[in-house]
Amino acid sequence: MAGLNAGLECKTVQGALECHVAQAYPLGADVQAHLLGCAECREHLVFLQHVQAAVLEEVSATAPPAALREQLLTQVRTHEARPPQEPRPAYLWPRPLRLLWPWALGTAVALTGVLVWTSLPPLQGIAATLPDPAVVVNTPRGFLVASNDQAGTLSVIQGNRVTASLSAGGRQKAWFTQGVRLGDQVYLADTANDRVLQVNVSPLNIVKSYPVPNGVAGLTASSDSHGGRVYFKSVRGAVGALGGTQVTIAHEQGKPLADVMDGVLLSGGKLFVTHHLSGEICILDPKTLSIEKRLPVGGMPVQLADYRGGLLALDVTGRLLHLSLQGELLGEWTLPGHPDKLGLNGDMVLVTDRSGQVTSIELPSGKLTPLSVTKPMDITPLSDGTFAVAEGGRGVRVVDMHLNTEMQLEHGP
Amino acid sequence: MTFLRASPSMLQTVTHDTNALQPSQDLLCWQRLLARDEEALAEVYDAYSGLVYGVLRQLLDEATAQEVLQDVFLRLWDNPGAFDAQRGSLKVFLLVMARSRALDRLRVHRITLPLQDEDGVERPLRDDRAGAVQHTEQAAQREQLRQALGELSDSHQETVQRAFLQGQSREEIAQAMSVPVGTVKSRLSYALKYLKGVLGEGGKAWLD
Repeated sequence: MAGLNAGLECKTVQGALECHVAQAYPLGADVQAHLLGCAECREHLVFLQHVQAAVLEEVSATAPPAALREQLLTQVRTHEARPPQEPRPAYLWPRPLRLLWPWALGTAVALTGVLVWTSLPPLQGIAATLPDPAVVVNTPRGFLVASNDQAGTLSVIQGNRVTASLSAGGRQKAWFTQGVRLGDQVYLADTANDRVLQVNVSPLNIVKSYPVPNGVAGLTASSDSHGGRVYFKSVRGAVGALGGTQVTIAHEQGKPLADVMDGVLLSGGKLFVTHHLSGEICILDPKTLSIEKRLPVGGMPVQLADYRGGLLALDVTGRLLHLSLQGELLGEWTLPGHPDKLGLNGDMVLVTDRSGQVTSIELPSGKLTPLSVTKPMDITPLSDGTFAVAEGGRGVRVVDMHLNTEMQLEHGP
Repeated sequence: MTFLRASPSMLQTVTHDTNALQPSQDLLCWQRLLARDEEALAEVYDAYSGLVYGVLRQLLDEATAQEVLQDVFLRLWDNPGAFDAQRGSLKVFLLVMARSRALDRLRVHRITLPLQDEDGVERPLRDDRAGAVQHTEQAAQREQLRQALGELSDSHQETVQRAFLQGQSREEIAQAMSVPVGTVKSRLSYALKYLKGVLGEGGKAWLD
C-alpha cells in the first residue's frame, strides 16, 4: 500500500532511503517496518541502488601503481590460512525477512549470546592482556583495548581472541580517556602522560607520541582528499589539531583525572567542542579555529556524535540532546544516572555510566532499557552492529543493540 | 574458459571496463575464490582494480585510496561468500564496497555505523529473477540509466554525482555549488524522477 504504512508517509520514507543510499545513513526501524508493507518504497530503494551503481560505473578507471598488485598477492600468500568456503545460501530467507536482516541478525545474535553466555565460562586465556580496560576503539577487523594499568597495555581483539598486545609505557600510570580511529590507525588520549599516541593496529605498534601539555579531554578524527587530521581539546581548554595550531576557548585549572571528559566532533564543515564546565558547545571553523558561536545548552555536555544531519550531545547530568548543525534544539531525552560515553548505531544509542549501568535509548520512541555492568568506562560500535563496552577492572563485554550480551572477555583473578 | 588478464604495464593504460569479466567469468572466478585460488584473485584484480581505484580517487587522497584498494580486494579474498553471484555483478559489488569503505574513511570521526554487512556492503533486496538473463537485463537497464544521466544538465549531473558518488549531504552540495539547499533538493528530485521516467514500464518491471 502506498501513502501511509507503519506510521510513516511514503514521501518521508523515500527521503530517508535517498539519504540511506547516497550518504550511507542507516535505516531506522520505523522505515524498515514501512518497507515491509510498501512495494512502492521497496521499488524506490532498488531504483536508488541502481542509480548508485550507474553513477559508480560512469567513473573512469584509473590505473593504480603497478607495485600494489604484487603487494596484494604477497599479503594473500602470507595471510592466515583459511579453509575453502561454501557459497552463502542464496534466498534462504523470504523477501520480507531479507529487508529486515539487521533485526534478524540481532535476534540470531541474541539467541547465540544467551546460549554462549549460559553454557560457556568467560574466556580466561586473555587474562594478562586486558588488565584494566578503559578505552575501546573499533578497528577494521575487531577492536583495540587500552588499559589503565602500570604498563599502559594496548590489546587488539579479533573474534574472541587477543591477537596482539604491547606496553605503551609512560612516566605515569596511564589514564586513557578516549580513542578515535583514522583509517587503520588509532589515536589514544593518555591524559596522565600528557600525550596522544598514534597506534598502528596491524601490525600493532606505536607510530608516534604527540605531547599535549595539560592532557587531552576529547578527540576527533577525520580525513578528506587532503589527508587526515585529528583534533583535540585539552583539559585546560585549548583546541587544536595534532601537530598543528591550537587556540584556547576556555581557561581552566587542572582537574582530577576522573573528571576529564569533553566531546569534539567535526561535522558539516564545522568543529564542535563541548565545554562541560560552562554547559556550552562551541562551534569553530576547523581551518582557522576561530570560534563562530557558543551554544549555551546547559548541564554538562561531554560527548558528541553525528546524527541525521545534525548532532547528538550527551549531558552527563542526564540528558541527550539532538541539535541541528546551527545549534537549534530538535529533541531531548532524559536519561538515568550520569552517562558520560555514547555509542550510536542507526536510531539506537547506548550510553554508559561509570556507576555501573549501560542504557539503550531507541530515539524515535524514547524507550529506555538498562543493563547493570561493572564500571563501564567506554563504548564503541563494531562493524557487525554490536557494541564493545570496556568494564573497568573486569574486561570487555560485547552487547547487541538490545543489550543482550554476545560475548565477554574477562581477565583472571 | 579463458580469462582476460592484464600485465602490470597494461594496467597503466587501463580504460573504462577494458578488462571487465563477463558474468559467466565472474561466476567462475568467484567459485575459484571460494576454493582459495590465488590466481583467481589476481584475475579479478586485473579486471577491476582500475575501476575500483578510479572511484576511490574521486573520494580519497592517493595514499588512502591505495590502502582502501588493497583492503577491498583483501576483503573479497577473506570472505568471497559475501558476494552473491545471483544478485548482481562482481564489478558492482566491488565498486559499492569501495565507495562504502571510502565513505567510512571520510567519516571515521562518526560514531554512527550504517547497517551494512561485514564488508561494508549494503545488502540489497532479493531479486527473484536471478541468473544470466537477469544480469544482461540489469546491465542493459543500467546502461539506459547511464545514458539518461548524460542527458541531464551539467548542474543536475553534478548534483547527482555529489550525492551518489561522493556521499555529500544536501547542505554540503549546496555549499559546494553555491546554491540554496532547496535548489539542491529540487535538482535531485527532478533528476531521480527523470531517471525513473526514462526507465518507463520496462524499468518498472525490472525494479519490481
